[in-house]
Amino acid sequence: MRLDLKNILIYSVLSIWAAFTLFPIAYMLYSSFLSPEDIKIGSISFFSNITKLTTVNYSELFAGSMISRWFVNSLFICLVITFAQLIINGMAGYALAKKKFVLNDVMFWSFVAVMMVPSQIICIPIFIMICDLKLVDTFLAVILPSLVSPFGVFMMRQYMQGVPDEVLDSARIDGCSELGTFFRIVVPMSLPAFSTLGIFVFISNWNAFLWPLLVLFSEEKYTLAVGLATLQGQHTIDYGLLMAGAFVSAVPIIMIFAFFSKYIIKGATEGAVKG
Amino acid sequence: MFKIIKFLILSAVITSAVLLRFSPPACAEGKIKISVWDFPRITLPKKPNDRFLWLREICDEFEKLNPEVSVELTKLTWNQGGEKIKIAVFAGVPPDISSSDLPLKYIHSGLIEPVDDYITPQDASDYFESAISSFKTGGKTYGFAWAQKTDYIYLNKALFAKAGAALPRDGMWSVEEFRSAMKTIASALKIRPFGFSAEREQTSELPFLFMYGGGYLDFKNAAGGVSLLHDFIYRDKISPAETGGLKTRDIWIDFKEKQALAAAPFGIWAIPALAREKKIDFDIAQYPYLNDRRSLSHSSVIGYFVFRQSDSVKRDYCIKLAKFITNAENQKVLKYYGQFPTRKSAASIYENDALMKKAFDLFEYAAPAAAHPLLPKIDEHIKSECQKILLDGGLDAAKIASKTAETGAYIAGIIASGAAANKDLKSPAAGDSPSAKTGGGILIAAIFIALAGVLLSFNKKLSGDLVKNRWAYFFMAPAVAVFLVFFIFPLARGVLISFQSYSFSGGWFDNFCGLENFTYALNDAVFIKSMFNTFLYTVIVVPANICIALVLAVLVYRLSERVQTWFKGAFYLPGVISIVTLSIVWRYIFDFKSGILNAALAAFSVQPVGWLTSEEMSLFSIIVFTILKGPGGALLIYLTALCNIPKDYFEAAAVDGAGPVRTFVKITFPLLLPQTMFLAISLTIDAMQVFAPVMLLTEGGPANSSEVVMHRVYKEAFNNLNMGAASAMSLILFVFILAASVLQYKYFKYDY
Repeated sequence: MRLDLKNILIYSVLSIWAAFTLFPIAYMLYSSFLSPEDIKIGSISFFSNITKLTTVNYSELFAGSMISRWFVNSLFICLVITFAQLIINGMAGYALAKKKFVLNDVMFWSFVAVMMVPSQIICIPIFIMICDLKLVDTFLAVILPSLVSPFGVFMMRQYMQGVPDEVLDSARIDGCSELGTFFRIVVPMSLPAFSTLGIFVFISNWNAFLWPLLVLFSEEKYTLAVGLATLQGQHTIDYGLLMAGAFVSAVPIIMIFAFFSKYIIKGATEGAVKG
Repeated sequence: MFKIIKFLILSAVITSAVLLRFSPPACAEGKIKISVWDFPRITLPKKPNDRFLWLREICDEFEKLNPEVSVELTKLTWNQGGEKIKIAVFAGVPPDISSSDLPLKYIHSGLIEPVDDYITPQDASDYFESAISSFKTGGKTYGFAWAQKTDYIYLNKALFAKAGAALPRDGMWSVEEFRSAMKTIASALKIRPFGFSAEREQTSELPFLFMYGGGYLDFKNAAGGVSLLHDFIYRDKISPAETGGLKTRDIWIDFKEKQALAAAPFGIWAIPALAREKKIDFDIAQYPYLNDRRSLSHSSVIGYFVFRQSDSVKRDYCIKLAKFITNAENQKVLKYYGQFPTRKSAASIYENDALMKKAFDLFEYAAPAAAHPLLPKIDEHIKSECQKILLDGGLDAAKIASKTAETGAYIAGIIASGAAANKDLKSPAAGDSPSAKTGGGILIAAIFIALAGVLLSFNKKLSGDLVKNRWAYFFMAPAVAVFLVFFIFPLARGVLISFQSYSFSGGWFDNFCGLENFTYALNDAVFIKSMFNTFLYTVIVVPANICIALVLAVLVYRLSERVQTWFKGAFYLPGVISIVTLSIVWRYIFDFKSGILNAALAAFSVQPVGWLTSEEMSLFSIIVFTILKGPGGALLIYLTALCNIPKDYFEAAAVDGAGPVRTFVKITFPLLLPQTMFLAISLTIDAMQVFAPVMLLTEGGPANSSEVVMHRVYKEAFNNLNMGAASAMSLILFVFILAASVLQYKYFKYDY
């Protein structure tokens, strides 16, 4: 690669934008280690007192809030939803991709159509339904409406269309049951799609905010996102504590991103028009 | 086969774990369970991190005295806790005991138990008259008063001394004395010494606001007070220019941390908070008086009250517990809360604290604030109008008077219409027949089944297929079931609700009100404003996202694989990090007082900008936030598409002598049209539903300048509990989203 003017220009544009987008994350990490005094007086400290770093925000965060509880709650809810979605979406995707039943087209297109419906439009009726069922302030209220995603069904169908019919036919001839075919042939052959979808579902539910905020009431049932949004005093706001909380909540996502960015980047482009 | 069995066992275990853990905890056999919902009010010195220990201890003691009772404590948070109670009441699952100031709205709906029978004459004579009377309405007492509070003007003695300004004698001063002291400090120290805010749900500026008459329920006469505050900013120049957009916590930081204010109003809570840190030498004063010294500051009383109980034994225990929490002995913990007890026999807790004693003396000049069931809504409107006036330096007294009169008339309208239609919050105990509620659900399900039956019996092909392809339907069943229950069905219900005056206790097909909700929405000035803001947000964010993503994709595409991966990660990471996390960071970055943006501006000696606190900038700041979070996903889509374009195209263009710009316009962009179209539609749908950044960064403020539709819907639904109007609003938005999608589809004329 030559270092001519054009390349320098390209690199500087890209780097400047990367700096813009990464700055808040770096700044969050940095200010979570500032002492309460520094952070309140403000960013003057960003330029002068760089030596005074402390972990007091973190110790206060873990001692004074239920963040570890929220973390476990989030983890639990997200794992259940991810697991359920993989099974339900996978099964539906398989039927839509490989079974020629009469309602196939109708069902497929209604899933695609619903992808276009803004999810927040239906949140009031679902909330009323959850109230009717007396499920408010339970984890089930968070989990139930997230058990299936039209996008997930769509994605699984697209992928499973690539599973060759011959393999399925020969499994059937060898006497494999329908369930057996699905779990022993189709699932292993679609593992990449399952991983991509799993990571996506996990991340989006980890970040879910409005719905858990509505249906969870008590502090010890909050998810991390909801807990974080309520993490402030009656009259004051402690930015150091908030930054520490924000960072803790971002850690799993950053880790998933670091290890599985291949799948994530693949998932982000799935469902867009084929070029 | 073995694997399947293993899988089934695993899922059974997980399911039962879910059900076990999240079904309500089995209550101990034969015990009466009382649920108490409260806020983290007090921290005891022995365990400063547990903000509920004080209440837990009191409840434990009560359990010991009454072994047949078990108390279950739900810990609310300050932020959102009030909404939670409201929603729970609305949903028909209220707690047994909770605390706040007089819950008029619930009392009017018959949801609160009167407790007069439990107040003995000794109790009654032990209460301060002001305290017990504020929990009385309509001749009955609806709860046990627990703590009294009010606001004071806090003074920074050091700044007063430095400027040679006179402190008020005995904490009392006239408006003129106050103003001249402030002016002295302003000219001596070159600062604007008096800070205040017009934040929603805060009371500290109210004594000034209503000084010349007027009040919450009678706002049209408040012009004098509004002008006074306006003058503080623009004529006397004793208050900061950005006051209208500030929140109490901004003032608090300025007063306590930066010591940039000589005087500021805060609640009584600030006395122990300031005394504890010993950072600042301060004193308190009463609000300045005009002529007479009565009712200078607004007081309010917090009490514990009991929600309607159907079981008389449990009601007895609930009321006893509420009384127990608030008895004179237990009121002594108030000394850690820094608020005044409501019992004379507990009044001695501040004996050794000179400042609290002075505060208690000045409390004599406080009077209860107005009470009205619609106060939250009225407060919201008044504060947003005040913010607007305070942010506009161009107004003169006459204009302010006419704006105040306008607001007063609007509020009179709210009060009148609220009296006419006390429609929300019907009593769940009385009107709650489960059959009426589930009846609609059963009816709908029956219609579904009947439709399916008709379809099947008339369509031989379908019924045959159901048998032949039973496995296909088996695989589809879970997804279709969830899909029907949580997508299709709520969509239908949402449309239904938007034509109803919805109340939780009503049936499915009750209370139809025609287009009332839609006319309400379209006549709501804030909703119109929020539509406009949403539109503005969308037309900026969507093209910006697409352009940035396109430019970055074309630039990244040329680089080597490894560098590409790095940049992809850097651009996409903010997209996967939670919007809550990033909003918190950005709120800090945008912060008027301690944010790095204003610090950076200050380094170039540019005046600080109210990124989130001024009417001009608030929406713009949210847009900047979204754009910096946004284009990662779009970039990846473009990049994938670029990699699929055959290289010959570019080579051919190069051979023909086309420059990079020409290649882009003539080849790259047309080939990326399908992706652009896909992004335009999906980003528009997303952008029009923007909610979280607004909620987390500005809550729609100041003065509704950053209100967007979904946030308006949220507030209407879960703050005002007006589900019908909220559904109507979201339906209107949905129509716009559909229209936008169809328009884009037509415009791009692409076969997709």
